[in-house]
Amino acid sequence: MESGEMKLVTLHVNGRPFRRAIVPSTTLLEFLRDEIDLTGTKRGCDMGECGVCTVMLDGKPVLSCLLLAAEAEGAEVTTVEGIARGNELHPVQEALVAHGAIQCGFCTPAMVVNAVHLLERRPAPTREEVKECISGTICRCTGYTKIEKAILAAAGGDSGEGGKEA
Amino acid sequence: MRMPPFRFERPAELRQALDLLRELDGAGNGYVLSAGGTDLVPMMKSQPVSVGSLISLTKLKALGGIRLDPGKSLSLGALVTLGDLSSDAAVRETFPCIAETAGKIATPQIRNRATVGGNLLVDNRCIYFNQSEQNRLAHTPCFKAGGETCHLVPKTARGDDPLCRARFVSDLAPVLLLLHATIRIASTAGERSLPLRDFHLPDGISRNRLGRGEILTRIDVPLPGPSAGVLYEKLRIRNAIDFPSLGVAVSLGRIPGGGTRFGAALTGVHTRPVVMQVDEAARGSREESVDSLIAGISRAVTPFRQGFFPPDYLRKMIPVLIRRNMEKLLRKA
Ligand SMILES: Cc1cc2nc3c(=O)[nH]c(=O)nc-3n(C[C@H](O)[C@H](O)[C@H](O)COP(=O)(O)OP(=O)(O)OC[C@H]3O[C@@H](n4cnc5c(N)ncnc54)[C@H](O)[C@@H]3O)c2cc1C
Ligand code: SF4
Ligand code: FES
Ligand code: FES
Repeated sequence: MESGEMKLVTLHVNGRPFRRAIVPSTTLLEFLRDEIDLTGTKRGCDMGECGVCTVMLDGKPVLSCLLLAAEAEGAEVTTVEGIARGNELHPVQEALVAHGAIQCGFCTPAMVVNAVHLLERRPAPTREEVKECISGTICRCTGYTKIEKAILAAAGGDSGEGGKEA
Repeated sequence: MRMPPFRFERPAELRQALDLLRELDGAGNGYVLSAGGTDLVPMMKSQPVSVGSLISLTKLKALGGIRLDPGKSLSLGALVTLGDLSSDAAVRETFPCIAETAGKIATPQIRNRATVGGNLLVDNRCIYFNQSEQNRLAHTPCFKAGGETCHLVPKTARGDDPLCRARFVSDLAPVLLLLHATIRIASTAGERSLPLRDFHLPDGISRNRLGRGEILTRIDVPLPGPSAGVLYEKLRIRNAIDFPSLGVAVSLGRIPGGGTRFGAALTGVHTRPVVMQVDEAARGSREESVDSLIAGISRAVTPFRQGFFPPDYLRKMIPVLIRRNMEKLLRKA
């Protein structure tokens, strides 16, 4: 097959349409980072194993490195750039900062997306639900505990001080 | 990581999709089918050759939905995601083990795209095949990669059956096998239906009986299942992300004429899923039945060193997991 064949797609990202000509093998991750310069979503393993490329597709967390951009046509994509309201951070983002749950920060955009989705569904999650929600995203720095505490605190269920270590 | 180029098609109707496959086959053009793409996309990223066309099945309504026909069957569309499967009320009510098993696969993000059909068709795994391009370049290509050698069992020669021992890894297959699921497959010639237990093949390359031009449409699970149900336990290092190093499903039910039927099915330790049932009536005591089930099913599998767990350990864990879960079912029965 001729390698140069392009496809015109329109993707809705963070409430805005983006129309681009892409090669059909372009992943959503490549579309976000390389076509429309939304580099908040990270490229880690690019093979589905680390979860740092997580975005929401129609409100559900998915791995953008495993999804073809063309498959996202007709759906609403939400990236970490679409979470804050202007300069006002989402409570999850505030809590991650406040709890020292960000070290190198590479997993953070994915953790934010995971947590925002969880709190939309379960405003007062249990620690087990928080663990489950971040279980598909690897953090090589924090040891996860601070991330769990931050998400629980964002939900108002934990001061971040007294939470029991699991 | 760029995938080799392909043409992208997303037909809106099953008929259209089947016609398209026939056309491509007729013209000798290659294609791959994609549902959630969570198995296919990583595979294509490590593959240097173009597949021709990628046909996305994601718009096909005929492949969607969970339909409960009370007293008769639970019908799962091939495109139902593992996430939906794990949370669906009808599934949780009729076959909680299906929901629980779906929830143990991969990660939450993957389950939001991965489908039940794709899970039954997931490619077999081998440490010599599922590797980075760099790692694979260090070896000569094996049979599964189109070469003429096997690194896992070096004495293998072309013509041997199986040619490839890459292991079957689907978590849902053993559970659906013990539930006597049947699958429906569509082509331009019409629809055929076959028991899941006749679907998988004992070779890591040919893998199953899905033919060219065919699409898996639905999985039907007859009601009621075994009276005491089915349990599934998955052995792996991490409680998320990891494929099963060994997956064990057990079932406990009554035989129509009286007596107990013990079932077990395994994944992760052979080229295909293996399922076995033993009837207590024919065997004397309960212990003897379970022993003979364990002995029989252990003989039917060949675990290799494929990661952290050595094969001897995997062999020892088969009876452990079967007994542990059978006891749970017996306590419930
Ligand atoms: C990090 C990671 C961890 C994983 N862990 C697990 C695990 O623990 N257990 C497990 O079982 N799997 C696991 N998987 C594999 C995979 O995600 C699942 O098996 C999933 O269910 C595959 O479904 P899919 O819809 O994404 O398949 P796809 O990738 O879309 O397709 C898989 C194969 O099936 C074919 N196919 C799909 N649907 C149809 C259809 N309706 N008709 C005909 N052909 C079809 C495709 O052509 C392809 O060959 C993992 C994958 C990753 C990346
Ligand atoms: S078992 Fe199959 S995949 Fe593994 S090295 Fe041999 S031919 Fe290749
Ligand atoms: S970059 Fe997508 S899972 Fe690692
Ligand atoms: S903060 Fe470094 S990977 Fe999570």
